[in-house]
Amino acid sequence: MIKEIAQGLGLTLRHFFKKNVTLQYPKEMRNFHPRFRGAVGMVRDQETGKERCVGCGLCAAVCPSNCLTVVPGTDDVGLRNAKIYLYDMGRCVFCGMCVEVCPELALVMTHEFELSVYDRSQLILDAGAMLRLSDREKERTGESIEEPGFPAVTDAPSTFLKHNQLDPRIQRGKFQSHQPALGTLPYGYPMKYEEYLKKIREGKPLVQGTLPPNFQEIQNKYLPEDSRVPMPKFVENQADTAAEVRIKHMTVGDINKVESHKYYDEDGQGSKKRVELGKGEWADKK
Amino acid sequence: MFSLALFDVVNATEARVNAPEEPVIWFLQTFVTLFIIMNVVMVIMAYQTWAERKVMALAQQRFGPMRTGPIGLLQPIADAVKLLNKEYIVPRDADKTLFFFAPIIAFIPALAAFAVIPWGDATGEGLFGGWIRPIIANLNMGILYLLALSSIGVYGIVMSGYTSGNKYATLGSIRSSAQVVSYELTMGLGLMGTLIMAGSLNLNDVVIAQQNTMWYIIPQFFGFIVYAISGIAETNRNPFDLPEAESELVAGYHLEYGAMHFGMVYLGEYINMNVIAATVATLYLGGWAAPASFLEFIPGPIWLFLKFAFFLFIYYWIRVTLPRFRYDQLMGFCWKVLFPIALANVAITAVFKYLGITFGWWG
Amino acid sequence: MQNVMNPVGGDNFQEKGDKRMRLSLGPHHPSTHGVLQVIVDLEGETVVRCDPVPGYLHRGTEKLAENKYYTQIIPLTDRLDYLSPFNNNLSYTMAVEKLVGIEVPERAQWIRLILSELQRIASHLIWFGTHVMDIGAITPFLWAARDRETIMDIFEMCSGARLTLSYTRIGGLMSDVPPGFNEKVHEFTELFHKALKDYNKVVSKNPIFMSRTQGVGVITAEQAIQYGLTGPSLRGSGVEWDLRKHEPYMYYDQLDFEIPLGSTGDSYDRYLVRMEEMEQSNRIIQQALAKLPSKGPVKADDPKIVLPPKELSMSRAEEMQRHFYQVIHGFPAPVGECYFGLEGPKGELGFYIISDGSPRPYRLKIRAPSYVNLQALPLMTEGRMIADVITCIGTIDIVLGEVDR
Repeated sequence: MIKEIAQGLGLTLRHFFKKNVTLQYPKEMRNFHPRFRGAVGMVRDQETGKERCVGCGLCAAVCPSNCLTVVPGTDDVGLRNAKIYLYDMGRCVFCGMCVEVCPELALVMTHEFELSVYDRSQLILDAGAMLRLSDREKERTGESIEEPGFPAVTDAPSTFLKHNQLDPRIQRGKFQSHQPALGTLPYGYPMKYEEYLKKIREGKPLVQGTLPPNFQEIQNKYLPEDSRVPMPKFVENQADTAAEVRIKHMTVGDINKVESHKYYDEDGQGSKKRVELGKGEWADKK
Repeated sequence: MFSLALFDVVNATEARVNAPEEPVIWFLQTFVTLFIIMNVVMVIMAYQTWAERKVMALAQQRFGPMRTGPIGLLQPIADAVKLLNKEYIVPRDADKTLFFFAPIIAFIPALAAFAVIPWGDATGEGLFGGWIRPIIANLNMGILYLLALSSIGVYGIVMSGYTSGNKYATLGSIRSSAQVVSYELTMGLGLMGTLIMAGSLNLNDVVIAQQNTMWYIIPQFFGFIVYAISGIAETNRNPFDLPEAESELVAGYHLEYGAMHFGMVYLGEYINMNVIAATVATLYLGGWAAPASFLEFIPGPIWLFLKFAFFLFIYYWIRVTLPRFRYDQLMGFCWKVLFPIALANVAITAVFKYLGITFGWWG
Repeated sequence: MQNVMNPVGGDNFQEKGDKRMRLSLGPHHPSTHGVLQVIVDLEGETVVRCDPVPGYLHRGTEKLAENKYYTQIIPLTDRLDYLSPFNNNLSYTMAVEKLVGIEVPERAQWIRLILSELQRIASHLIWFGTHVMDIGAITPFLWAARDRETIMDIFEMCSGARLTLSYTRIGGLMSDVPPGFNEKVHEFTELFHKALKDYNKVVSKNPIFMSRTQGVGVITAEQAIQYGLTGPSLRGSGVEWDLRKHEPYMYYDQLDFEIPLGSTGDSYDRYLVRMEEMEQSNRIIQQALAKLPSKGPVKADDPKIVLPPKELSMSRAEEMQRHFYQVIHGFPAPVGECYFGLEGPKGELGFYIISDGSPRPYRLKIRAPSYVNLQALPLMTEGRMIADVITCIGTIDIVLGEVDR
């Protein structure tokens, strides 16, 4: 009886002289394995500097916790993107399925794990905030993320890769959807992005001849008043109203509601003077 | 009973202390001594919590408190500030008066017990012409005083549990009363051998007797074991921490306490540990006396501190290693194991003393 | 003062003058392992009636699963027994694989086997730590957490998550394990062998621990079978039943390991059985590492169910179409019913799926071992002391996420 107790005491005594295994967390940080699944970020397209997302909505379809909302659209230069992309981190379970299915490699699991905020509305990120998340990864590692890491591709890389390190079949520029929607149509061959931008700045029509109405409508936006092709009225309205209706049902309205909560209204006039609490970096700053 | 005992204590004090020629100065001197010793005890107690956490952390390969000050040295102060700032909450079903006074009753006797622990040679005059004395009250019956005070401390625990209006706390205080009463017996019996050997109830006399022969831990080894184990049980520490068994009774008798009242229960427990450790150091490890003559340049208080710090370390060490007894096993252990050992120890020591047999090599 | 024994009034006592006290252990209690409520009637310190009340953590997993595609259910299973998520993933995935009849590549199976055994060790480590902590020793918990950390690191290395892995997919794994996996697992098995000796030294032979567990919570072999216990709780009573041996799945029939059995069916026997199981799992991992093929696919080659690899889907239009179709519509499972159970750390963890031919299960039933084992709590505790209730909750190793589902 005494022998066993003495053995136990001896063992604890030996542990007094062993090295500590814990870390002083806020001061020291453990090394994450490259595959660590933190908050979902968006990958920047190196040519445009914008998100690579084309708004196909597969991520929203696969998400088991329904934390993604995607409304497809086109951006100001006519590239396909997500008109609205909302990522509710409060619902997210970090399973990585969205990254796994993304056909554009536009999403990435960043190593961001300190996700606490003072207000739940700050947990709802839009595309810009998600881009900033992956930018933080860039600041941390000193290298830009050009292609996502785990688990976007089948042989998931152990670290974030540059795109030329990836399988050539999935390198950027080998497939159509990254090319400007307008430039690809009439020529059947992608136009260089610089040329495309130049044409737009000069106000020249990109395409000669007849276009489908929705492309025509987009092209009209970038043409001078006089050279616009007249459009049937309903096309424009239809697109706009549809988007408006969807936006109304989105969480965007809710965010504004939370922001104009009386706690934040200091002067009582409803001006949205946001009190920056903690790190407000992910706050929705639209 | 107790008032009578205390009356005797007062009488004994007057008899023992060098008859004060000027009572006012004598009172002031006692007050200064009291002030200094109590403060030292409180500081030791505060850092004891820190030390316990550090020792436990080391055994578990972690750091323990690190954020307040260098290696967490300001942690006790931070704890105290936190406790003082908290709201004092009285449960709906509590007996409000007793609930308020229970922690105080637990706390004060524990602190008062330090009055009879000698920090140096109590027969001497002390520093600065008697302004700082090594002992607050050099009682003839110091050990009885200690035992009496530790009995009073139980009332605080029982009251705090019973008046909280909480079933866990009630269970805890029931356990506590049974446990402490049983272990008090073995504790007293464990001490008896030492007293028989020293022939005095005065703690200073025991130390001097040890200086003349040798530390009583050797001849009174079984007495030491019984006293140390009963002391751990008396202060409700692991592996005898049934009254506050965290995994069964959540926190036991002090479940409903918050703020500084919790602090006082907590402090009372730690000071009790200190008292047990200090008595062990005094009665078995030679007290303030240096272990060898060439080490006598180090003053007595430091020796006492080192000895009882060592015993406290054993306390912590046992706490990190051993699991907890069950209630029936605890009582069985007391009455079936410790009690016979203590009785036999007393009997054998008494017989040897009566026959005048010495063991040769310890004189 | 008369309020003290009966603060709530009325219902607290069965009858007036009855000396019983009704104590509600939990749902907020440090050692009910989550949010279990156990209502015990006490006479002094003796338990005369014990009534576990599960349900505080009910999340409706089975109902949620009816509205999700087969792949989307995998993250739900993580949250059942959150101390062994990989086994949950695996059991569910293998049930679906049995339903749709898909063959999993060899390498994927071996990796699954290794991870499953690692997960068993991790789960047992937490059980060990908490069980011993309930009995009062605090240090072994921290040591167990330290060793479990290494397993968590291995999981993080493979799947990116430490607890909610979601690492399996129907037909294989999410992705192959990264380089360095074998070395790290091998390192762990050697380290763990030593650590286990330490645990045995500080706890197994400790007289206080032995007196707290021996003869406490006795379940005889007949009772264990009657109550439907599985896993170590059953084997502690001396019944030899281990699905890895008796209904081998994956490659367990190719491995050499033993099933530890208890004799008396008390808490101490169950303790020893689990400690020995860790040792055996360690052996299994070492053998499996040697047999793990160094190369090979980790996803089945079944275009109807498994998503195409990105290299194909991003370079061929038809593969991209298939990718979109599968993600949006899921894969329809054949009409039928199917049950698959594996030997989880807590017992037989089974998934029963009824399919009506749609891509979502018509009904998903989870046979959670913790829930079944919890039934034995009154049997073990009635007539004993309140401290034994805590020991018994620890010894059946329940996880409330699984009990309440």
